[in-house]
Amino acid sequence: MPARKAPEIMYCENRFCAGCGHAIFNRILGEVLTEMDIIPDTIMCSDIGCNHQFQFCMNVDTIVPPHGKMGAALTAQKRVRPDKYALTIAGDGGAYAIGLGETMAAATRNENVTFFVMNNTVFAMTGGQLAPTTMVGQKTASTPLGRTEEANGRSIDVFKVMQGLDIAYLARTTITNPANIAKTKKMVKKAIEKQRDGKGFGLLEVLVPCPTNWNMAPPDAMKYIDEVVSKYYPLGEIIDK
Amino acid sequence: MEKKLMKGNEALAEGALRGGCNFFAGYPITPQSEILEWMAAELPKRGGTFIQGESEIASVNMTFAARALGARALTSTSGPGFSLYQEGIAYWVSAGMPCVAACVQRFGIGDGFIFAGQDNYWQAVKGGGNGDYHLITLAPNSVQECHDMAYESFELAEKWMHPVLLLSDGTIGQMTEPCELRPQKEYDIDQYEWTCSGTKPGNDHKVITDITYFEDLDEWNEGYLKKMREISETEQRWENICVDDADIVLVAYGISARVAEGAVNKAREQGFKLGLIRPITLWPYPRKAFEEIPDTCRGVITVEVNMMGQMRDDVIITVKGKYPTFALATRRKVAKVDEVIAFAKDVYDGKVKEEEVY
Repeated sequence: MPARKAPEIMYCENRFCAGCGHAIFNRILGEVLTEMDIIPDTIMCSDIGCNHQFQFCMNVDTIVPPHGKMGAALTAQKRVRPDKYALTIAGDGGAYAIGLGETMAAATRNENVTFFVMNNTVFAMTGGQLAPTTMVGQKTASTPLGRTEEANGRSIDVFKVMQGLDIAYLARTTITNPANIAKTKKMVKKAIEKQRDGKGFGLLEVLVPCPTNWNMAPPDAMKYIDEVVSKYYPLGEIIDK
Repeated sequence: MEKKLMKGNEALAEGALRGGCNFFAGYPITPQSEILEWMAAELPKRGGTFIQGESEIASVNMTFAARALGARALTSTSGPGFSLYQEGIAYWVSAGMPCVAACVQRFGIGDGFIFAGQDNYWQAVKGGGNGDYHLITLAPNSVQECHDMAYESFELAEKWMHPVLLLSDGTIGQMTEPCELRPQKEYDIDQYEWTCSGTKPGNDHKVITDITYFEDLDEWNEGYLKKMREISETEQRWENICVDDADIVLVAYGISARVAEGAVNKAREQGFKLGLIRPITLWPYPRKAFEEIPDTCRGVITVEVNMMGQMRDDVIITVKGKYPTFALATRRKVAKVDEVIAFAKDVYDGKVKEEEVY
């Protein structure tokens, strides 16, 4: 079967580890921006962490504020240039740990901006430490015996955090197989359309594998999402206005 | 020219607006809030964007984003807010973003107090965030200078593609004086090529981040050093008053310079030859101003509203031991004219011991 050619926006090989979910998501976003023909109308806001590698392989204007500050930066982006899409590819640490305040502030104001949050349950770039999304029981570099509620508190589930807010879109998806990739692509497009239609804040969380820090072979990491992570963090659209 | 009675903070905000400012983000903190309030009222009327951020951290990064997308972006704060700005400002520097920040200094450590101080000097001129850098730092000592410095700040920042800091203080910010308003400058957010405005087909994208991610780090370091040396050589500004025959030279900026100037005038009437060097740029420090000090001068005294005489460090670096140096650091109170003269006389008479630096 001939391989599908990557869209032109993906201008070089990505720099992610083998089996990393970020690369798959970036390709999906690249395809959506291309198909919607909005590359010149898009200004990305990067987080810092593995996610920010997209800027080295995607030909789209990008600004990079400090780690986690996308909620603030996107707010300013959209107000200074309301004719441009303001999107971010964020990490779960950036969006929900160091940047939770800015993410929530943008959401509570219902800013017309869009978050794509890559949830791999760890701080990946720094070696797989505890993230807010680390599941109870999950071992990480900084929870060697596994996360416990006593020592580390509960995990963050963005559905529980944001479901009462007056925002445009809140959903969770994954990219573990072609069917899920196709579903994710539709959700990415829908999230961007919410912004196009001026409906307000959108957040799509994507469960992505981190074989390197999960100490798993890539196929096993995909299976782990399907069997474990997506049970802990249910998939679906819970706000769709 | 239009003249108005204004507070320093208002004059600063209006100066920025007339200098082409079309974005402001900030968070309320005394004694700078008039800047935020002026912008809230005026920016939308003039086609700009005002955002009250949810924190100083949000505000400094909103300023970054707005500037990256082309707006002439200002933010202002004070005291602990300025501490929260440091990470964001370091990012401005690493990305070469010509943003402008104003810090209306208040006194104290941590939360501190809401009244005026000059104890942000070290933080303002010695970097403040991580990494090697200085901010181009302008220090107004009048309402007019608040206006004028804000007015020119964007062009100065854009000339060097480097952030500019306006270091005011609670007294200068809150005092009311007549101010001549400058004519409106036109500014278009699409004026510069370097801004992010969307990647056109066939073009390479722009990424506004630490410049060295896309350039050779060693070359960038050499280039940054060269730029800083050029700024240091060409942007020093100062005002010297009666320095060339002075027996004692005062060095003061901002509100302290107003008192020091009064002290020079009164001392001269009494036959005591005081002089004043008023740094207008705090970085680059106006070292050239000190060349005018006569060899017969018996001492150089900084006058500062802080505990440790922070600016004396720069005086020591500048005079290299040629003159003894002292700080009349009057803690939280602005010095009085007679207090300055009395201290200067004691120095003249050899009654004050030169202290070690802190």
